[in-house]
Amino acid sequence: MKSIFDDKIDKQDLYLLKQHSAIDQDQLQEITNKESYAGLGDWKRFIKYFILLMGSGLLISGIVFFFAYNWNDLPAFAKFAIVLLLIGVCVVVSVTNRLSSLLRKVGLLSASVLIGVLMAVFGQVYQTGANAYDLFLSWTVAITAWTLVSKSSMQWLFQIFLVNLTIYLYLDQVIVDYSFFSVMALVLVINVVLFGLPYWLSRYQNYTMAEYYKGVMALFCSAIAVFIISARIFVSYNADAGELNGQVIGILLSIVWLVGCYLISLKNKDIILFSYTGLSVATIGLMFLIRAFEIDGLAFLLYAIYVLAVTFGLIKLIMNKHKRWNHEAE
Amino acid sequence: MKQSKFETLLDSLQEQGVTIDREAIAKERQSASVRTVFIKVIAVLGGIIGMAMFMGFLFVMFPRSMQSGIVIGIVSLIVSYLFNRSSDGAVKDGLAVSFYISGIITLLIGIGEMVDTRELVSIVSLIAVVLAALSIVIIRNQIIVYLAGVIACIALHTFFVDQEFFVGVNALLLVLIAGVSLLFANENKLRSQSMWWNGYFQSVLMAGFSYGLVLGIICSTQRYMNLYWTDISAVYFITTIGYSLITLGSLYYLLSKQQISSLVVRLGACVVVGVFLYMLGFSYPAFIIGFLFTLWSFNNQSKIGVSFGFGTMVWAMGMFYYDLSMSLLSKSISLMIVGVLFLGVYWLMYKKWECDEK
Repeated sequence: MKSIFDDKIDKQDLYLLKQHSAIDQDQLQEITNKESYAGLGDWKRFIKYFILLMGSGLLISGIVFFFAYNWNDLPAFAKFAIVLLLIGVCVVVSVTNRLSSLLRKVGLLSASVLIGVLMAVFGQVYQTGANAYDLFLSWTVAITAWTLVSKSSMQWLFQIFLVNLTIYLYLDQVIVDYSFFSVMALVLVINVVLFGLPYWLSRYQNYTMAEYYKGVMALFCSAIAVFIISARIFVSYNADAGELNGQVIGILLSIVWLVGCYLISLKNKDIILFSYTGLSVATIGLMFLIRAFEIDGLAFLLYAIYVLAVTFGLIKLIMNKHKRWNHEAE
Repeated sequence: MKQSKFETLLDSLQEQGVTIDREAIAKERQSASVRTVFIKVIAVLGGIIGMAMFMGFLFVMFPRSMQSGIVIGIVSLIVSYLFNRSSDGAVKDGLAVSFYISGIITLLIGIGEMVDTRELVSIVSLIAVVLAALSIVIIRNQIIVYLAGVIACIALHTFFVDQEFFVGVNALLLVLIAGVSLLFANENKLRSQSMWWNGYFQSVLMAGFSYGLVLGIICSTQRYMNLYWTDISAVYFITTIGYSLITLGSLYYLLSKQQISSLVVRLGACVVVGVFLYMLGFSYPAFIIGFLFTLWSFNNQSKIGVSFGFGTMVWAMGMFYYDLSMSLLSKSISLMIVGVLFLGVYWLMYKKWECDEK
């Protein structure tokens, strides 16, 4: 299938051409119209999908609104039948080879979301009285098999979101009194494993994960690592043993993650991972500074100087690295 | 290595005898490719956090007063102007922008301390509009031009709400939609004729575009201050005529530009958009604004614009569900009628194009 956005020349390049050439204005306008704006073929392709999407979106919304209007009067069987029917349609879409890969992935993601709706309806009809964490745990478990074979970055991100939500609700509703550092260390390990799992599976299932998946997950794992280290910086050294339980493992794992990120970024010449590592180290430095000086006027000045110096130093570092890696790639 | 479309175009122009400084173009493209959005975000965020700390220092060390607010504000704006003259992109994006934001905020707080009347909010809003307009002219920086555009819109919006002149809010929305549509339609002409427009077109467009979407949602739902449903019935007719003219005018322009003369396509497009406006657009402008901006963004090949246009329609649908001004049943019937109509037009157009291709 051809993309809706066909390969066009960036308008900015054409206006650069105007600045550095003797091209006349009318010729430039004509070229820009032809090479950078949507043509008749692009419009036909776009309208085909746009009208279809608008029509089906509005119709489905109308149907949903209609059922919502009558929801309380519907018998339990009808409620389950509606949700199951929708799940069935989404699953059929996700396994129909004639459809585009994107549509199939969206179908699977929709089916995964509807599984949660089905469980919520079950809870509503039978008043199970279960904790919210039970619903999310069942939901996570139920869609795991789909995720493992999905070859879809969106599906993996959704699964990871559910796993984290389940962990949070479990801690909040069931455990309540827990060792902060041990739990955060566990959360970091789980997220790093989930981050790497689709890449490992891709060796056997022959697919490529999207760049945004790497960007989101690397940022999330780095944020957890920075959070663990920052929390340790601010927790008093005289805190009781229970509070500090697992701190060594937590900090070690965080350092291992950040160093690992840095080494992988150098090995793969990956500017995103490189930038995240830099940002993480800069943030940890700021936390040390805030901890070291009592908050007053001069401390604010010190923080300001540190933040500005580190930000622009980091930008220079990233841009130079990017330039060098681009140059090497050429 | 495969040659890009742009390189091929340059070759063909040179063959036609056009003199091109390819080295300068390559240098600027390389520099632009390194200054990614990520870098700009770090620069601006770091700059803002740094400036917030610096403002903290100033407010702790010097007591808050009218004079200190105005002096710090003016000094910050001057520093922003000076940093903006730097040739370093990161300094321009980070320091000039953060000094500009701090300057505007402290200056307005200082002026607010000075004005001691019931009209405080309105006066400060009007001063903010003037400051924003001046900064667009004086401080030539893409991010600052964007921010100034948004500040001007927010200030005008605040002024109308403070004066309880809700017709003004509707008029502002209409002006924004019309302005953004005109900018989209004239992008090529403006950017190829004027250096200023070439540099700041995206900033001005995005300011109008983003605030248009936000104001569209605010005016649609009754959750936010009930702005759209004013008592003056003329407003309803003015906005209705305004939306119809802008939407159908845009549709006419886009169809004419592609030289689509097929009666089925033209009639189908007008009927479906007309019904869409009548059933949903007039009562919930966010739908029509999202729809209109999606079409224009596609014409100008802006992926971000198309995503935001769609996103607004999805968001509007969520708000529409919870809105209490209509019953769920009437909302449901409106949506289903428009949905079926879109699908019908899709079927007609698709058949027509299939016939043409055969």
